[in-house]
Amino acid sequence: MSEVMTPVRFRSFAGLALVAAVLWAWFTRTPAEVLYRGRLPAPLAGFPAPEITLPTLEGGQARLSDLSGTPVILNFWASWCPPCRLEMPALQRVHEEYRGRVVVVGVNMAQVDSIEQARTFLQDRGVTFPIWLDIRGEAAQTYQVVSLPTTFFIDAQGTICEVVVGGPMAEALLRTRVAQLEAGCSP
Amino acid sequence: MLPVISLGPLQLPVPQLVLVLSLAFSFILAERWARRTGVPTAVVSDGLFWGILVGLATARLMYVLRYPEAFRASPLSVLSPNPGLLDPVGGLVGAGLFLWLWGQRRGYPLLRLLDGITPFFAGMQVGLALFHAARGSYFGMATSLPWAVYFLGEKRHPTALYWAVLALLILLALHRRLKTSRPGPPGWVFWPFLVWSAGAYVFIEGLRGDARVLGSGWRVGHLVALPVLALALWQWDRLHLAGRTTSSTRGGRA
Repeated sequence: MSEVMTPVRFRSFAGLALVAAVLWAWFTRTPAEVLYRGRLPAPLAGFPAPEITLPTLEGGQARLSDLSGTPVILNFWASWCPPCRLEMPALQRVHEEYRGRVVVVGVNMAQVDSIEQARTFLQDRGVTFPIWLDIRGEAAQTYQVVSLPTTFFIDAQGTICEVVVGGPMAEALLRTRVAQLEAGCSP
Repeated sequence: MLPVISLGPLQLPVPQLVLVLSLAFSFILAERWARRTGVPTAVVSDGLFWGILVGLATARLMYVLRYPEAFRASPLSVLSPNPGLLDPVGGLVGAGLFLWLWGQRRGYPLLRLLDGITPFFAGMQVGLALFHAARGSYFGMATSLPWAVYFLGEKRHPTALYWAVLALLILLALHRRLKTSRPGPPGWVFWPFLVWSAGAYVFIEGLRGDARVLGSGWRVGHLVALPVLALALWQWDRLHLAGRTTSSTRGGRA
């Protein structure tokens, strides 16, 4: 098409296109507070992490918002899921090394898992980070978990920085994400 | 979010699968259209194959260099297939440098090589848009337009789908250009493609609801895409002018 145009005409079209693009960029400027205002909690990167309250393996109750102020790695898993089992040692090492700086939480999909098998697996692997039990599948529904494992990286302000679907995650990935979580991703 | 396909211990999320399939599709497309760009098929195949490998290796290397402590603690992670352990910018720079050097040795300037692999970029652009659509990212701002999609509690622009449609149109425009024109000077395929893609991106970015913005409200995507668009338009204009000058000197068709 351009080949049949005269140079003047081509240049005019090019100039007009550029001006239109700049004007479009100018008119669609949106301050962050407007773009992110009223953003409802959703299981997506950039959104506030939805609240969940679940029983723990030890018998108490735990609430995600109670961890506010500290970055959280929220890992949905089940004892029968091979990649979940494979990445558990890496999560445990991160839990041990970054204790006090980052909280690792394992949400066991108890609705589709045997709590006893999960407990045995955790004991065998020496897992000591908090395990919450999603007995009715509410947390999985809230977080739209369609595959195991699924991991949410949440910063200290409660914003989801990243969602990793599938696994196993490499240990280095967890370590680098801890550094990013500490920097924060809240708008 | 779309479901996940399980293959034994491997979990393949659909978005990532879309990306892998589009990689294969784009590779085949680039091979099939190579001759029309003026670059031999073998050169495009080899350049793409080694370019992708070098790009991946560089992306991993740059990531390791950015986070040496993380890899010192778990050295085997260097070999992990996790795409989250790649530095995309580092990978692009590495692949670009490799192609430049590789092309020099074979007598192909970088722009000529880029012409040859532009169909690959065009195919990948469609795949990338579909990847975002499948993942639920790249969602739009709220709107009341009749084709809005309900997402995250509001009716929104389906920006990832807009992008997929525009990417498909760019692919068709590229096909038409290759079919109706004879190979031109280096850059004759690459610069128009870059103009169309940067233009499409500027449009899409303005409607995104998950865009990164600066304090003044400018969208970061716009600040990147506008200079690219200006550069590509300038280069296309130069090519256009050079093409006409050559053809008028020879008295042939431009």
